[in-house]
Amino acid sequence: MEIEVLRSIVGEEDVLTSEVDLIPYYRDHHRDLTSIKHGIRPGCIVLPESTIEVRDIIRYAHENRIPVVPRSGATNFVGGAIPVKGCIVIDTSKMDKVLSINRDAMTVTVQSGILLSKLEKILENEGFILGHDPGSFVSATVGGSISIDGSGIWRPIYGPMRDMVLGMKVVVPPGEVVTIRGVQKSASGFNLKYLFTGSEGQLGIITEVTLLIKPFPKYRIFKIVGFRLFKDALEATKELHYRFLKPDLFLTLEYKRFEAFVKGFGLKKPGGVIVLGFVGDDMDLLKARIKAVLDTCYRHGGFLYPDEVAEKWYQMRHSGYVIKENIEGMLATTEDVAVPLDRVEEMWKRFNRIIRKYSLEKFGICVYNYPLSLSLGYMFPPDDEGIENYLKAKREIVMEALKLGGSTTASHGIGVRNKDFLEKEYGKSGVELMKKIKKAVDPHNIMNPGKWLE
Amino acid sequence: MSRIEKYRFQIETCDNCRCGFCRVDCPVWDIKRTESFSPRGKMQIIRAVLDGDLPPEEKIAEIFTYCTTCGQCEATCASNYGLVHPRSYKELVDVYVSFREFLKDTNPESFKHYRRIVENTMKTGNPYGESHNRFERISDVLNPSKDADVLIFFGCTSTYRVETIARSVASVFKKIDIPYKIMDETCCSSPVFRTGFIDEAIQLMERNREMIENAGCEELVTTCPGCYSVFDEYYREEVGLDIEVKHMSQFLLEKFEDENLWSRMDGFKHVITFHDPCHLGRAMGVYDEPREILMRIPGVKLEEMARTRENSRCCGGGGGFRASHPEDVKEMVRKRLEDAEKINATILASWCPNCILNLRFGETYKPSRLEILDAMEILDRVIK
Ligand SMILES: Cc1cc2nc3c(=O)[nH]c(=O)nc-3n(C[C@H](O)[C@H](O)[C@H](O)COP(=O)(O)OP(=O)(O)OC[C@H]3O[C@@H](n4cnc5c(N)ncnc54)[C@H](O)[C@@H]3O)c2cc1C
Ligand code: SF4
Ligand code: SF4
Repeated sequence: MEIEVLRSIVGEEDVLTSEVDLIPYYRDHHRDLTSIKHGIRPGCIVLPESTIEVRDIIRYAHENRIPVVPRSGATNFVGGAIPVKGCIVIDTSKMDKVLSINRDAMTVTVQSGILLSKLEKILENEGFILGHDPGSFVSATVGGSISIDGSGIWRPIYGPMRDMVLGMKVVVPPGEVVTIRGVQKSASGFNLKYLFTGSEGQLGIITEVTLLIKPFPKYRIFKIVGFRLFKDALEATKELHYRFLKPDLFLTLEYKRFEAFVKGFGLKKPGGVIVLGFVGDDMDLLKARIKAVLDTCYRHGGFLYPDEVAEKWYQMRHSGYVIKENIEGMLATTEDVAVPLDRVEEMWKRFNRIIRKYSLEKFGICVYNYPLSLSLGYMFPPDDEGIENYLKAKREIVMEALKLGGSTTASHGIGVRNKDFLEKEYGKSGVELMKKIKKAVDPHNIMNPGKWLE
Repeated sequence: MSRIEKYRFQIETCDNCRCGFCRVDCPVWDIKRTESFSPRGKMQIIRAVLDGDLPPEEKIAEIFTYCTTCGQCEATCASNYGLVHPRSYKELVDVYVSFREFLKDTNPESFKHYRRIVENTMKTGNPYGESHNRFERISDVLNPSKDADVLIFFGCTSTYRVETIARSVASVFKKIDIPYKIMDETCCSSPVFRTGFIDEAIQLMERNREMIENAGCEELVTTCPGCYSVFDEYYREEVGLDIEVKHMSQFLLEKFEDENLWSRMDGFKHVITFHDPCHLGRAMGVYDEPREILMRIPGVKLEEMARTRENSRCCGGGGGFRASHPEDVKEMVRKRLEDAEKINATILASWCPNCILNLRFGETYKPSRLEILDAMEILDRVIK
């Protein structure tokens, strides 16, 4: 690799090659990589600032068959941004500008490396909201969220990330820029937008994105309903779905997921809770919606927590991520499978069985609603036995989800962590089709190799 | 066992996580954008060095000069050490400080800028290497008593670099007639400690501890958050100092309340925005007292910048950063001044000689119509 060529594209300072600069790029947030010994040394890091610079890098990489790994916040759980030996890592951290806000069209156009948290702050000052709020809201980016096909807690009203994306610019091999227009609906040709969504950097690099923005809501009301048993919370959840009563934020949690939080309030210990959020600018309308939802919950034995508990939950939603580990020296992980609505309870039972079988510790289940998916959380000690048990449990959990007609992952993606399940989910023909697409777009296999398309 | 080894748990917890919450408001990452300059990157580098996977080469020491010890990473850390350890700020910053110590011990060629600061301080008692008496130029207003309950520690930056602050302290005490003692100060050790020269810092602490104890006062008061945080935390831990330590804002608020001194203030028609010094706010949790005082000056309207209190943007003045990276500091200052401009403040105030020195540094923001003032300078203007 000729470092000088890369320097001539992005500038002297924006190409890193020294060992100490490379070390923090050996891994991303994939939790199985517990030391740099599990990571892979990249060839170099480049930090482009524009679509044109990215295009020139891809052109050079394509001609010289050098692997390229895109990396944004590096917060993905699945090793999607870990390097391959000798690759160029494209760190999008300097592509973080808001290019334009079109108030009348209700759109914002950004460079893909912008942090979700920074973008929301800018939009809020303008009276708007994007509304993608994953647990990694603070440190994940727009480009990474599209590439992984992620979703956040406001999904019932604002949708998962994919629903906010209108258009984008993507650089693909051999170094071309594909432009997808920023309209709210298009039926023209293959839907390239969805092709790139969730492609995890294996087809190209998203450099610019036009997103749908919404008015920042005048009111935001939170409610938390407790249930004696988690099963009751699930029943209430199902009924809310059957009646299509759609709160704007709607999570069903097993108590364990809520425990650390409720402790501080000295409140009653439920088996499960439903966390609800409602947004809008018409209080009467909101009140009517809230009443309909709460009445449904009460019919299943639900009891309401004080409003300040709900407010506090929302304020604290991003903090204390690995508190438990800090205290107990455990590693926490989640399987984010999706199963059909009528199989959720069964999936919960099977998950519990697997956790018991391998003597792991559960930190609870979260059911995300609209669209429906599960987050099954558990912990293991980071020693040989713990890791072995974890790997077995992980496999069984996902396999059970697949047996129930489910999908391997709802938001975390495949990367390297989940690659073994892809064929189980789609069968050979499905995976072959994906590989053909990949080969057509990227014949030299330079884009993020070593992940699930190999 | 070297000091850094004490932090194995924190280092490994982070290295196993790598979630990067800490990056987003780190003032260094903000201007550099590469992982090695981010807190999460630094934690991985530390682990790699401690595990023997990376030799502690010169470049690493260079990277570890890129930290202002502002504690922002700690405040945003998703592992939130703060919930486990009550003094949250110290954990991550102490990791960096201890690693600086480790690096300077393993490589005598490292940290040239720091070594100069330390040498100056050990020789002259102040990091600037000034040889004249620190009180010489304010002797006209300085009026210490032989008998007083309060010992004022002026600190090096106010006496040697922003003399108007030292002068204002003396002047305000004179006007409101509070007796105080002073001592033959030597640097509190903050810059020496925070650059990782801990043994030398402890020598400085010993010198001051003895003088403080000999003064026999009930309270030690300082207007410099760097001094304040070192006295209240490290002096207790390292040299067993046992005296009530207060920041000037805490001390004055009590006095103003007890003796109803508010009525002695002239009007001061300004929109003031308060810049929280990292070592006062995030480090010590003192956010309200300075605001309370400024707000109660007749005519003052206090407006908050977008980044304030726990999330206050570091101006780049701390941790030895200005000495080693003056150009980067200008960029950080520019960003902070922009924050204040955005809300149409007329005065950007702080309560820290080091922040004030830094915000005025190199007249970075000439076109700005902002006046940059220390709260002591404001008080000296308004108290009759
Ligand atoms: C504390 C925590 C909580 C989380 N909670 C959630 C959650 O609630 N919901 C959720 O969906 N996820 C969650 N995640 C996972 C993660 O944050 C998401 O997957 C996120 O979308 C990744 O964004 P990123 O910017 O970090 O991307 P990265 O991790 O850098 O990259 C993700 C993938 O996309 C590729 N890529 C990155 N940028 C580009 C680009 N510009 N063009 C093409 N390919 C690119 C990378 O190669 C990689 O394969 C969480 C993570 C953490 C640490
Ligand atoms: S203390 Fe401040 S400058 Fe240092 S790493 Fe943390 S956030 Fe960055
Ligand atoms: S936020 Fe905390 S745990 Fe996460 S990478 Fe930063 S220092 Fe490590």
